[in-house]
Amino acid sequence: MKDQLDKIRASALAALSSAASEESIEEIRVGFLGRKGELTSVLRGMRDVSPDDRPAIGALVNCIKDELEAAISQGLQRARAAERSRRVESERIDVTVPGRRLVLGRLHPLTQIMGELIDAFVALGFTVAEGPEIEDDYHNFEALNFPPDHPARDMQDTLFVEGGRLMRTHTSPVQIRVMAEHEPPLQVITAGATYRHDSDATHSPMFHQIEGFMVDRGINFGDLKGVLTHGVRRIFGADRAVRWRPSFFPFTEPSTEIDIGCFGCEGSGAPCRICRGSGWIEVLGAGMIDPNVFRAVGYDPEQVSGFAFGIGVERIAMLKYQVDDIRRFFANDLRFIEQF
Amino acid sequence: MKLPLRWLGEFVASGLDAAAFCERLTMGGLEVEGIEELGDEIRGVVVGAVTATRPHPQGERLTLCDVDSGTGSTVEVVCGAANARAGIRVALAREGAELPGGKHIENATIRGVLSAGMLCSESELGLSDEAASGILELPRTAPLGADVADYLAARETVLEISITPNRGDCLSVLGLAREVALLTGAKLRVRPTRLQEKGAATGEALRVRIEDESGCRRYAARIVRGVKVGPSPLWLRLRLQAAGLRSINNVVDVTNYVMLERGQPLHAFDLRRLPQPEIVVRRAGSTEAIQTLDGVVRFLAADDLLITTGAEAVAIAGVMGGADSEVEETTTDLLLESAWFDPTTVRRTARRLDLNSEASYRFERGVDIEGVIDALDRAAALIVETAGGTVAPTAIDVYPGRRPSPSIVLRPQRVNEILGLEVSLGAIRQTMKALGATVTKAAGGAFTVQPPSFRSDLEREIDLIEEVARVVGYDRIPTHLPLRQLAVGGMPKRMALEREIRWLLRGGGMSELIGLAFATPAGNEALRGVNVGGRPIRLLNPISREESELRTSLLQSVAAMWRHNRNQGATAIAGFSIAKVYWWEGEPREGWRVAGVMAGVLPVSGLGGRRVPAFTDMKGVLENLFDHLGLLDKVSWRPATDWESLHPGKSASIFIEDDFVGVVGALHPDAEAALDLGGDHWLFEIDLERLSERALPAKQFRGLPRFPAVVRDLAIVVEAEFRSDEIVHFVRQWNHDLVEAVHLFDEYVGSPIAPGKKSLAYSIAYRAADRTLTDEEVNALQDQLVAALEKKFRVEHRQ
Repeated sequence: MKDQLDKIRASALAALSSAASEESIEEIRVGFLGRKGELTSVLRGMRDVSPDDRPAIGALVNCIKDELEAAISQGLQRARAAERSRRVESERIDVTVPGRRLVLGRLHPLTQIMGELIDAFVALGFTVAEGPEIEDDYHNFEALNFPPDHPARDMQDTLFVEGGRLMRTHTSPVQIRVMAEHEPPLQVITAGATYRHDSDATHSPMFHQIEGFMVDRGINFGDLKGVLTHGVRRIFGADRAVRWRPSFFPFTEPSTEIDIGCFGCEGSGAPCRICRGSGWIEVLGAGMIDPNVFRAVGYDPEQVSGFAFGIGVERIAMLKYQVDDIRRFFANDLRFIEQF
Repeated sequence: MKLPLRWLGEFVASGLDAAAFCERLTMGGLEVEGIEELGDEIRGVVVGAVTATRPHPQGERLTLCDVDSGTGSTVEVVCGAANARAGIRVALAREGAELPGGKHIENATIRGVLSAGMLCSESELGLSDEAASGILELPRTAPLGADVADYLAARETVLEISITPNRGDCLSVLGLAREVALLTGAKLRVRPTRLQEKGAATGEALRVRIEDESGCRRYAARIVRGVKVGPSPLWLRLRLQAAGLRSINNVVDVTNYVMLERGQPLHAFDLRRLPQPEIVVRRAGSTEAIQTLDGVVRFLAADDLLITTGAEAVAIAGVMGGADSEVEETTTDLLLESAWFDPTTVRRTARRLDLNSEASYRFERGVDIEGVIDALDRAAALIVETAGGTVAPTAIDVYPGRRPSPSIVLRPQRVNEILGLEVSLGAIRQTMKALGATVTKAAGGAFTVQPPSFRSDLEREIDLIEEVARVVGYDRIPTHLPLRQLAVGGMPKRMALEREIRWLLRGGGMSELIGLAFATPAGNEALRGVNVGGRPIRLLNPISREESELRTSLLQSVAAMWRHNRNQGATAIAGFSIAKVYWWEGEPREGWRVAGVMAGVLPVSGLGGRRVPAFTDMKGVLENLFDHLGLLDKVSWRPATDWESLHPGKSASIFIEDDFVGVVGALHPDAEAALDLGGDHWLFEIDLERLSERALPAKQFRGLPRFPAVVRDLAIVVEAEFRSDEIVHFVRQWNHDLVEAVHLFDEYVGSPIAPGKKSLAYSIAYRAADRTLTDEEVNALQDQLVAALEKKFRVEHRQ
């Protein structure tokens, strides 16, 4: 019996030592340790062994079984490691083949800029409002302190539609609509399409503005400067120089235009096609809301004050991305859009 | 406004260099937009004296001139001008000289004679536009060898200054000089005009009456007799040229010169050509016409303000003079007009007649009513200086519209409240005085400020506060974020949704486009808009005559983008837009839409080949969109058989429950023809507002299933026309408790399926909430389902 066991052990170990694959080791395991395996058969034959010999034989069988199991486990580990090496050696792909994908579309540069600016002001507590694009003279001009037959109207050449209406020439009518409906304090921003009767390389009959205003007790020009400095630097960089130039808009007073230090030449005085050598680029208009505008919406200008600002989105986009012709934004050439 | 700096220098000297000067003006609200250096192109041209001349041996029209330019010897110059003669002083362009237009002078042999440079005409020096009538003759006092451009003061720096519409007072050299004095602290000097008056008094020869005081608050006139109309002297022409005006004759040039200098437009009539010695300022009333200086007959409106003599109109007040009383070469006696006309009246007339002149531009912005006489006298004196003649004694000055200057209460604490500054009382008072205002103390620590007559824009306290800010400098106002109650920012749902949709469509391979809102009537006709009623809105003054309406469908912009990119040779065109459409329904209406197109091939990268987009590609993008918005369960797609602009067999109407929200499909072949489009494509338009009303319903966790699902496939054969979703709806309803999900995963046409039929394969997931379904149960369910389907739809079950 003992010889028989030794033989089984020897042949199992011999088989294992030459087995390379997981499958052949598994076969060996089944052949020796399986239900019908050789060693298992020996155990079944234990009833023929004399009771005196049984403990010794039993111990021997268990000893061989443990040894074989350990050897199988080792063999399996070896085989698996060999298999892994084989895969590493043999499996090859071409990683330079392009990915299979539905190519992402691009967002229009104008909406990207509008989104960025709106987020900057929403983060300061501004609420976004919207208004109609087809407006009336009252909201677009009169309530904004553009008297009829005033030369200030020349600044905004108007596209008229039937029914005595017009295409809004700026987003400022939203100011009037919001203030007429709500009481201060207000912190509002709006963005959208505006229209003028004008068409060349720097003027499009349709263009976009972002407009914001803040009305409360005690708002002053320093507040205007603080809020707009934040907005401008969000777009053009935290260290960008900003200057405040007196200007004129009928609906604000004092009025200002805001210039930023030219990012083309950094004010070096070198020939620069962005600022044309001045070192400054005009980016937005603003001012303290004119008392006449407050009166038009039923606010008492002695009680509240506020500021308003407007930004030409195309102008910002043209500066930021150095786009040479405003009409490119609306030609929608995919080769243009795909650059953003 | 062009500002020649030498001219400005006659009134004020800032003491600043050019860069600092421009900076100060710009930061004071007078934006310097450009700087032009005139006369800079003239180099190496000197004053010379022609000492002797003789004819050119080979050219009858040519003269040989000996010219002395102060070097001690003469040079020989060939000249073709008739006025080349000994004794005159001339502009000699020596070898190496440069003339305007980049002309470079070298010694040249002309018909065998070497010419040492050339003698210049005015036009060659760029001093005049007109063709040369000969060489320029300089005064005998011109120093030999002096630089001609310097000598003639032709070197001039001209600033281009942007003047905002509220600052009519800055449309003159004097006005800008006042600003320079204010902003730099320099002293303003205005030399008084000296007039020698002679002959019969003005009042004896002329009567002036203002019938409409609202249109004309002041009218002043002078008579100058015995003038000789002719070309202006060079200095005058150079000044006008520098300021951007053309020279006409000495009289007209003087009126323009004084307008540029003082801001007061003037008009000169030929006194003898006036039918009567009378000036009446009145409205046009019933139909009248006048032939203006430019030769055009103008028909007048009743409200137009006129200068009339007897029954005849001789000028449209403040806009343009009449041809019949125009100053001509034969004119000897002048009537000079200096008046204040109502800005609104002038503006209406000028706009209606489309006659915008330097005069009307200034009247529209308001001229200084107290400067009327100064300008008149200045012009009279200059006319005598340049055209001779004598000025009749005592100007006529009809001034019924005299008004006291406004008294504005200025509260110093209000200045600081608005500006966020701490400006002292003294500084505020000082600024007001520097503006030319009269300042007196008022109650409660305030001032009463009476602005000067030339600042008609200063009417309210806020106007004065702006002046303080401007003079102090905006840069000196402290910058800070507002100290106030926190506000909560946010955006409307529609806008938030618009952003989501933008990103989702982007993920669907589509790029965003923005189109102009305009459309042609034919385009609006060809593309039916979603949820648009009434009719298109017409533009009264469209940019292009063709695009005379506003778009009623956003597909209008999508189609334009598609066509443009196709014409550029693009193969994969996938774009969308989010914008408004407009229509007239008793009043103007507008609404947000999202629309898009996939045309050509799919914008797919990688191996696997290019393919044209299928309807399901387009629909898949939209399904993702609806899924993201939490609406996919509620969406249904119904054949759009009667949507005029879409192919009846290849398009769907999209409903959310029973709400129509949009269309998706292919263009109707008629629309393709009308729009010059075609080929493989799919497009969609969806009403964004309808969508946003229902989008993003509140979410709630439903728990996870405790028992496994059993999935069975079901293949059936149906008529080719059969709509696959009928099975989906039926199966869901058939056993709502145990059928968890149904979806179509295969569609097959072809052998062995009979022609005219198709095979559809669905995957059905069964699940019970309270137990694990057994195979037997599911098999029984599936058998029942097949039987139900066979009964309901007469489908054939494929094993």
